[in-house]
Amino acid sequence: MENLGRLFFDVEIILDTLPALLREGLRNTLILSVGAITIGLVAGLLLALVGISRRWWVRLPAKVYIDIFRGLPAILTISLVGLGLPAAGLRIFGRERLLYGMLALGLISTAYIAEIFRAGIQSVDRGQMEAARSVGMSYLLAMRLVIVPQAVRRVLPPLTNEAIAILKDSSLVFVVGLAAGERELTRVGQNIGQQSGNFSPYVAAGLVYLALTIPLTRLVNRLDTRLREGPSVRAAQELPATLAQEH
Amino acid sequence: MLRRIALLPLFALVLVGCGGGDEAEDTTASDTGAADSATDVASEGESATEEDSEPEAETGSEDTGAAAGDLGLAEEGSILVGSDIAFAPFEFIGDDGEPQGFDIDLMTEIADRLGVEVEFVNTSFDTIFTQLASGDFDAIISGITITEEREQSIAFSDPYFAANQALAVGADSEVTGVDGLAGAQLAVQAGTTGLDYATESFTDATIVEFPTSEAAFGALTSGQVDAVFIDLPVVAEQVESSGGAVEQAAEVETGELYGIGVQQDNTALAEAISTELAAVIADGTYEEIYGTWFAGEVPEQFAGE
Repeated sequence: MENLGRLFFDVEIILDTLPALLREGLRNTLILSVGAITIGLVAGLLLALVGISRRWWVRLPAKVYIDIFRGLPAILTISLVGLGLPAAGLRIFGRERLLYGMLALGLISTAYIAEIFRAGIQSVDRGQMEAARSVGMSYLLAMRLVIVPQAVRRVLPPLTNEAIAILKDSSLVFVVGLAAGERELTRVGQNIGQQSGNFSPYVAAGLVYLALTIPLTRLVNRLDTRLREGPSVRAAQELPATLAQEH
Repeated sequence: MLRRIALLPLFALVLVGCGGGDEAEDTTASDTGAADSATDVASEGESATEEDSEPEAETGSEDTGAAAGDLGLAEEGSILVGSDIAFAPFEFIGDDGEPQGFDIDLMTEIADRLGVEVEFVNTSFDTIFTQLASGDFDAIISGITITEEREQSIAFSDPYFAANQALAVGADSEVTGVDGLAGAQLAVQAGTTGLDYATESFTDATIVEFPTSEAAFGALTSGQVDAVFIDLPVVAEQVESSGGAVEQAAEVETGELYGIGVQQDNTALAEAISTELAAVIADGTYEEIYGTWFAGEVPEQFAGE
């Protein structure tokens, strides 16, 4: 047990590792995840709207895309984008390896987020669309003003889960090769851990992930409760403006 | 449901295996005089897993069982060897899916002479030393340069290969030598002496770490990096197999020697391997294996008598 403590929880090593983790690792992990989720939100919403079309030939491409990118292991997609595209002469980001990684993670999150949005949109009662159409709104206008705003609220918890998943998957980007300054959390922890022969740097990297993911998980739980029970009386008093927007 | 049932014994096996390993590690690290009890714990812990491969182990150790027992192997009669099998021509996965290469042949020959079965485990080079130290393998062979730093955590056999580092570039590259690396993107393999040398000596280049030598050369041929800095025999192999896409721009004399790594306290195994290695060199078998994988004469220190 003593040995376990020394190998995993050497406070001195953990404290020594933190600056590099926060300066380089955290920054790159956040660049990768925030970028990927932004891509996923925009492209995922578009894909979801395409995916619920009544015409099968409009739906088909969305379905195929989702099937492919949800079904592939993340490390394979990252390798195909980060190593494969440049090899095929498609140097869309020059030599910016982090951008290839971000795009790959974005393609993956697009597939998941599209499914989340699709489920959210379809969970809105049909009558809402019918009512909106009956007062003269076009399909797209009804989508924009009536259906999507309601769906977005319902999909916040699963979206947060997806954000957590992408945050963790960003650790796989190392397969495309990373220069000093480009390493994300896991890689920084691993490098220092291998140099020191101690696993505390891994643990330190893990702590930084947890510092990000645990608050996010709590947020999901709170959102989930709130969506089921409605806002508390206090929140309703404090945030009349927000509520007015929501209703 | 059916699948879940089938997996249960596997989980149990893994758990038992892990438990045994950890205990052994604890004992050796916290008490230097407890080598004996550590071996006891290890063999106890492994007895559960041994059933799995009993027939194989028995046939392997029947004639030399006593000798093999002294080698401090986690599983008697069988040596588990870690290697990053992406380092041609030393080790790579052949067309048949099996490990091949100079290291593989040499290690197999040595294991044969020790009277044990050899099993190779493909692992990542930049974690190979900690994995060996924590008892994941009995030995490692992976084109590993013997360095003082590595000797702090593991022990090495006598050297079995002499290698320099080299700079590989794409055809028609503007980089023609180590002087032309300013501002260039230089690929290296994580955890290697090439990385250490490059970080120290090529300070005006951007050093890009790749998990395997194959990934580094892939990035070179796709134009994502300007050069690769890695062991000379690996560069030579890439120059030959790439059909002109890869060229050697420079050789850097580092005088590195490769050794077979074993756990630090397992001097018996290191000595046994060194003894067999000397025999393999003396009777010309080394020369034979060398001829299979490399062009040119065997270096004098490894030539037969």
